Amino acid sequence: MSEIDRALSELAFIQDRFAASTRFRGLAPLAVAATGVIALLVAATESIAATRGPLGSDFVATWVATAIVAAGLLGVEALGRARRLHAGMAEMMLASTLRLLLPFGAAGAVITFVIMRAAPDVAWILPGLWQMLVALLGFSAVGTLPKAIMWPAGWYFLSGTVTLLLGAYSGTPDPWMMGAPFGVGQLLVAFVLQREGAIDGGE
Amino acid sequence: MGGNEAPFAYEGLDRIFHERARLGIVTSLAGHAEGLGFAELKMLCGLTDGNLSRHLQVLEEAGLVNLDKGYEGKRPFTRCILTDTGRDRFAAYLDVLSEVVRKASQANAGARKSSSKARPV
Repeated sequence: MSEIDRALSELAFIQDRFAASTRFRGLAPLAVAATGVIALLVAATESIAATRGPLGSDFVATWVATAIVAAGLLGVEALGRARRLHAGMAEMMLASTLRLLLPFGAAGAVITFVIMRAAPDVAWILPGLWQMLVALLGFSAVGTLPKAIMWPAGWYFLSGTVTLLLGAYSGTPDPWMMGAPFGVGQLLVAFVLQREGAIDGGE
Repeated sequence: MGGNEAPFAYEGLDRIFHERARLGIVTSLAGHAEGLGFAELKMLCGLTDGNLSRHLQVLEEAGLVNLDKGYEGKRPFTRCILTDTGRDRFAAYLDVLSEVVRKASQANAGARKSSSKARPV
């Protein structure tokens, strides 16, 4: 490795460490709160539909679609916000956030695909597993989000445990196994971001 | 002066960072969101108390570093933290520096290629 190559790799290392220790300001409290409200609305709509008959695989399809809409909403908002608030660091911050996010997203997608393909009768396990994944994502993001993100992450961990237990006893997924944890959890995340923004004097 | 007119002007190489001791200080702070204590920073950068104080003062006056003076137990304690402005400007500095090294790498590769062509067989 030449001196120049070594310099380039050292610079890349500094940039990575720098991005990992910089607080990501791309998440907008309002957009996060909106995803919580969406979760509550979807759960309410699904529970009305459930009175007409079992939801079956529609349950998972509905929540996968909801997750895609929520991720799209947060992603579009994060792109604009990060470019505005992080200026020169925006690309670095977005790349660092994606590196953190993608393994959890991929794990969630693979778990969902395998269960729905090979063992759809245990679909009740999915809401709890999804919440556990979001909890782990929250705990992993402590370095780049406000420290108080531990509380929503703890909420997701707790609700994931309860949801797994409830699912194991009932053997069927219920819309509120998703609506309540994600509704409350996302509103908690929005509150933490809003409070931290107010303390920092930022947006 | 436009970037295309003078591609090697490197105006983004901020003079405040472009000094060995200050580069060490800011690089150390860049990896710590919660900042570092004066003593830790002194150890990491291999600077004397006086030197570190002088460079921190320059960075603080430029609004790039915050110095929180307080107590840890009964002992005075100074925490040094990169400000948001400091983080943004250091990120821009790193971008330009990477660009300089990348161009040097390309020039080096080009020079090696042409010297191997010129070598008699």
